[in-house]
Amino acid sequence: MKKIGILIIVSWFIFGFGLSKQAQKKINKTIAALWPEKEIQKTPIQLPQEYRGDRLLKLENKSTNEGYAYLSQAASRSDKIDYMVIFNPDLSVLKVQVLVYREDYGGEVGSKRWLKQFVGKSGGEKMKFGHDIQNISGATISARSLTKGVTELSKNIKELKSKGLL
Amino acid sequence: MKKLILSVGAIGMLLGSLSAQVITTDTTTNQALNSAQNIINSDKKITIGGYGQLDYNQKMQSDARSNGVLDVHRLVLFLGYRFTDRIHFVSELEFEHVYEVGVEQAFINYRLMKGLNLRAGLMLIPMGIVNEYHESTTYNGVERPALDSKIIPTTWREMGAGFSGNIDNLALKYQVYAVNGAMGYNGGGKFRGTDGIRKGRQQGAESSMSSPNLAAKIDYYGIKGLKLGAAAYLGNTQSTLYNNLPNNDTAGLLAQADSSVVGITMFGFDARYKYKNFEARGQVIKASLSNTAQYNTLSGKDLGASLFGYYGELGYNVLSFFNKSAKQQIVLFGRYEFYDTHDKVEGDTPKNESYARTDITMGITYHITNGAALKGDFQIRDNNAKGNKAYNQVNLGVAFWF
Repeated sequence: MKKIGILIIVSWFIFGFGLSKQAQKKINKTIAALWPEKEIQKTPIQLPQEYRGDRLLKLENKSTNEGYAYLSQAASRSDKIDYMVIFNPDLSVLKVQVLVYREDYGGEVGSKRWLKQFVGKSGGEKMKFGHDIQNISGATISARSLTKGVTELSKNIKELKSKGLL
Repeated sequence: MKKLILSVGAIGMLLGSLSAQVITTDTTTNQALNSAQNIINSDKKITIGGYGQLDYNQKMQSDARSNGVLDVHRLVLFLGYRFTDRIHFVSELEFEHVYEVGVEQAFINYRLMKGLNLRAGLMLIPMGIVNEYHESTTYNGVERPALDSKIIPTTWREMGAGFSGNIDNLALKYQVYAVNGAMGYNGGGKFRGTDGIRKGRQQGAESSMSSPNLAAKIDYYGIKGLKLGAAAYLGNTQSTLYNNLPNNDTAGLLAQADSSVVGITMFGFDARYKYKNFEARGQVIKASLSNTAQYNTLSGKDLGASLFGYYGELGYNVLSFFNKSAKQQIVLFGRYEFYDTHDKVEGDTPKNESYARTDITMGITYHITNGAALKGDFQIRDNNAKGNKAYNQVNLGVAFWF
């Protein structure tokens, strides 16, 4: 068990897009908060070439699939946002979390209330920016960018399932 | 006249389409990338962007001819550098009316921890909507609201240092800075009754500071689609009469220096709301200036003791009636604005009713793509002076931001 744990941690460092300590802490904290009673194993899933740069983890408790953690980056005005989308086993969004917001403009997208708009949706549907997902004045670039990102991840994971890659 | 308007409109459209938005989506990584980033630096440490405002203003007088004015009102280059994840440099360089060069922003931002950034340099004073969010594609109307120009006075930027951050749990953004103030007396008085402290803006050009000012703002974004802001600006204006004033003031120069400054207590409240195709915004600004009687006596100026103004604006994307899935938008809007720089006057200063102004603006913002817009509006501009006739003005413009 310990060996597998170490292997997972090692593969985490090898395959990541350079996740900072802060991001890693936040990922673990978020997952622990969503499943407080359970011990969750995070297994990396190999992504096909066209999705390179992102990271997908299967979240399991013993052998029960609890969901997936999909990590990616979106563009803010002059930098990048590291974020994570937690999907339920049925591929609907459970939670969206901003891991690292680097620049000084547009940080409002970290607001939990704003991120709640994605919860329950799947397949990239009902995520149209400005209609289904409200803008935040003064953070439009980040809000639009993050909305685009979550929509893509939501579509991607559906496609991965249909290809039997999950 | 008609031919001129048509050809200007055609040129404007050509310019608009040429300088259209260049953000592309890189399909391999599913990210929105600024193409300038691609070109300049594969490491993506340098960011280059810009915005511009090109105007055609045509005043219309009932009893006389008026020349139109065509102006490259603003051309701004945004230059940013990411030293590390936590340390950024942000700058904005601008040309106004082609020949005037200025720096709008130049500061270092250091993210000490989540929710706490240290910022130092030349910064935008957080007051009102447009002073911070002044890219021309983000507001309706060719010109910025006159309230922001005359009372706030946008683009208001001074040097200083302070803190800012987002508190996600409370959906609050805060900013608090110590900055140098506006120069009120520099061999002679600088302020005017018509535009308050606008002529005293130092803008980081060898700014002289006799006492620091405080600027603070809180923005709340916890309600979907709504952004509320509350800002304060407090402090005395600056005066060169304090410079080299001896500690042992046997000549009694301190009294004269004290009469050359005014105290500013400015409060601003603003709200922005956007829901699907509907948008609205509003703003109220009140500035109390103390010691203006002494200041006006010394300088011979007519500075008001209270500046007050507000505006309310509504807009609707009418293109949605014809095409629900269109990426473009045609926003029909109307704005009512009142601003009075002689809301109150002190001492012997006579109240100038022509400083109590009302602007009604109606027009269209045609967002041809994300980041480029063609604008047109009609304004009725009036004031409270006895016998004053309101005049009309037509404005056409090109706005872009990349």
